This record gives sequence, C-alpha cells and structure tokens, in this order.
Amino acid sequence: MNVVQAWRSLNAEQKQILVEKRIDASRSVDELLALMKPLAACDTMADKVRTKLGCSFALAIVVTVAAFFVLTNVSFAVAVIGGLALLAIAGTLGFFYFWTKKIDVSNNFREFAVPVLSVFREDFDATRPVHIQVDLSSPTHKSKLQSESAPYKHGVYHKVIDSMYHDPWMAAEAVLVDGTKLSWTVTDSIRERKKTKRNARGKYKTKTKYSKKTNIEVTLGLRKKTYDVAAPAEAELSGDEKRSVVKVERQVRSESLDPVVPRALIDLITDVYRNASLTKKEAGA
Amino acid sequence: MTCEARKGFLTLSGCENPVASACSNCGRSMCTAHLAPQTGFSMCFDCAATNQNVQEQEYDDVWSRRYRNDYYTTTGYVPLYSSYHGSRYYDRQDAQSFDDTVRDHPDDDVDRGGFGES
Repeated sequence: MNVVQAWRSLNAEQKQILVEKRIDASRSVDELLALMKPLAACDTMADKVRTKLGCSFALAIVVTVAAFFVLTNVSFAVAVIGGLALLAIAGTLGFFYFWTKKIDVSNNFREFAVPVLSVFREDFDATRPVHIQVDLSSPTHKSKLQSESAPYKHGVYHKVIDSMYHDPWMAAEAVLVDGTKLSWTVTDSIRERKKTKRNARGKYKTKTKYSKKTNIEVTLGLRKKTYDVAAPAEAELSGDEKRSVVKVERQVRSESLDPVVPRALIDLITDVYRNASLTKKEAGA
Repeated sequence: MTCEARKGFLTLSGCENPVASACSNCGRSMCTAHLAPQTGFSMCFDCAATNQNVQEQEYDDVWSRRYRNDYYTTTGYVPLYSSYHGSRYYDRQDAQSFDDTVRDHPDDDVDRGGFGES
C-alpha cells in the first residue's frame, strides 16, 4: 500500500484529524487504537516517501531548465514540448511533496502515543473510556514559540538566534482494570539555536541545533483496599480515605527533536507499582 | 473452561473468554482474541512473540507481547496477577490473587472528580 492508498483508506474523522493536527477523544482503548493506528501507518508511509519526493522535485526542476536550453538548440518547438512535459513531471512531484508535508504529523504521535496505548491496552478497563489529548503539529510550530532572542555573537558564529518553544503535546486519563486511576502529561521545552558563520571561502553557513527537555508527569490513584503504597524516590504521596495518590515526575533531556521513548513513561508507572504491595486482605483472597 | 492467556502489562489478569482452541506450541487453551492471526490462529500471542518467523505489524499484539517480554527481562519488573485460573502455565508462587479487586466496581468513588480533589 502506498501513501495515497493509505490516506484514501482513512475515514472522514481521521482525515479531519490530519487537517486539525489534534486528537481530543474519550472512548475505549480499542476504539482509540482503531482511530490512531491507521493515522500512524499513513504517517510512516508519508515520512518514507517525502524525502525522495523532495529530492526528485528539486532534480526535476534542474533537469527541466537544463533540458529547455539544450533542446532550444535543436528546435524551439521541441524545447517547448519537452520543457512542458518535464515541467508536468516536476509539478506532479512537487504536488505530492507538499501534500505529504501537509498531512505530516509529529513523530511524537507514532513513536510515543500509539506504542504507549498499545502496551497498556489490556491494562485499561475496557468498559471505561480513556480520555486522550494529543497535539499532532510540529514541536516547533509557530504557535508554540515562546520567545526569540536578539541576534548575538558566539565564537566563530557572527549571528546566533535562540528560539524557545513550549509544547504540551500529550495528556491522558484512564481507569485501569485494578481500579487504579492513571493520568499523565508530556510537555516539551525546546531551544532552537540557529548559528550562522562565514567560512574561509566567504560562504555563509547556517546550522540549526536543538536542545529539548521533556517533562513527564504521572499521577496514579491506587485503591487503598487493594494496595499498600510506599512512595518511590522523589515521588509525592497523598490521598483520601479510598485512594493513595502518587505523583511522579521525570525530565528527559535530548539534543534532538526525536520523540522521547515510551519507556520513559512506562518506567515511571512501573516504579509506582514496584512500590505497591497487595493489602493483607487482598493477598489472602 | 476459560482462556488461559495472561492479559496486561502493569498487572496481569486472566482472560474470562471461552476457549476456542489450544495453542499449537504451548498447548494452553486460548480464546480467539488471544490467538495470533499471523499464525492462522494456531499459536497464542506469547508463543508468536517468541517465534522469530512470526512477523509483527506496527504496534499489534505480537509487538506488544515482544515489548512486554523484553521489558520484564531487562528491568526485572514482576507484575501482580489479578486472578488465578489454576492454569498449568502459571507459577503458583507468582500468582498473587486479588480477584475481589477486579470484581469490585471501580466506579464506587468515581464521582469524586479525579485525583487528589478530596
């Protein structure tokens, strides 16, 4: 299946999600995965083909211009016909390149949100809805820009601009089969640094570097009649007469925009379960 | 007789679906939901996950089982069992039954409005 077929196989709701770049849904985990997996598959195919299309588009433009001038020496009519044919090819490639860019969603969706839901699928209470909010737009979308520094000099770079982005891209709430209430949020703070220098040959070169802090916050409300809970290190333990509420947080640093691995969230949750034991009543049941 | 599959990741629980057939590899009785389609519904997901010849689809149940196996092996995480069906596959020492928990309705305090609000 190619990307066009994958896109055509999406239903109206899924196509709308690609336009809005946002999922805000409250339904069973199986229904959520049925909604999300085809989007992830479509995005995988679009990502694979996009670079090839971009390179082919650029090459087609160069070949079109070069061929037009070469063919002009043969015959102007041949040059026009040949040029138009090549231009049509370039246009088609350009159309698909920009279309795959338009339907692109953040890799956080495919490499974090979908695998996390897949891993926990059987832990979620199938009779209760999972509420999920995922921002599918690029982590450096202009709407997420918080601040931009004035240009400054640093070493060999005569112009450096730092842009800060704030991207709270995922929140979820669910009830698990053991009655535990689970919620989590994932927020990225990104620094984009554009550095420009002039090399020995007088050419200007610009590099863009990213530094990312991903903050994951998890809250688990475990039932007191099921679990005795000790707070894991650096966790906050509170609660009421029915639940022990554990809040844990972790920050993951990265020097790229690559999505945080699902393991970062899963470890936080399993750390809480490692510190929970069955109450005497439950253990003896 | 009910399915002998172990469901879950954080905690494991038994499946209460009726048996469809036995896994061709481990012999455990399985329901249709716990037989891998990639094997023609002849093998359970646990066996399919350990069989290198079984291809996984992106984030399907074979992938999930492989992830679960790998996670348990590399981290030493031992999930609690929420039920015990007397299956020969389960190690009784591992089984920490809290059947009441599953049958207790989690809704009994659901109108409290979420975490830490009371």
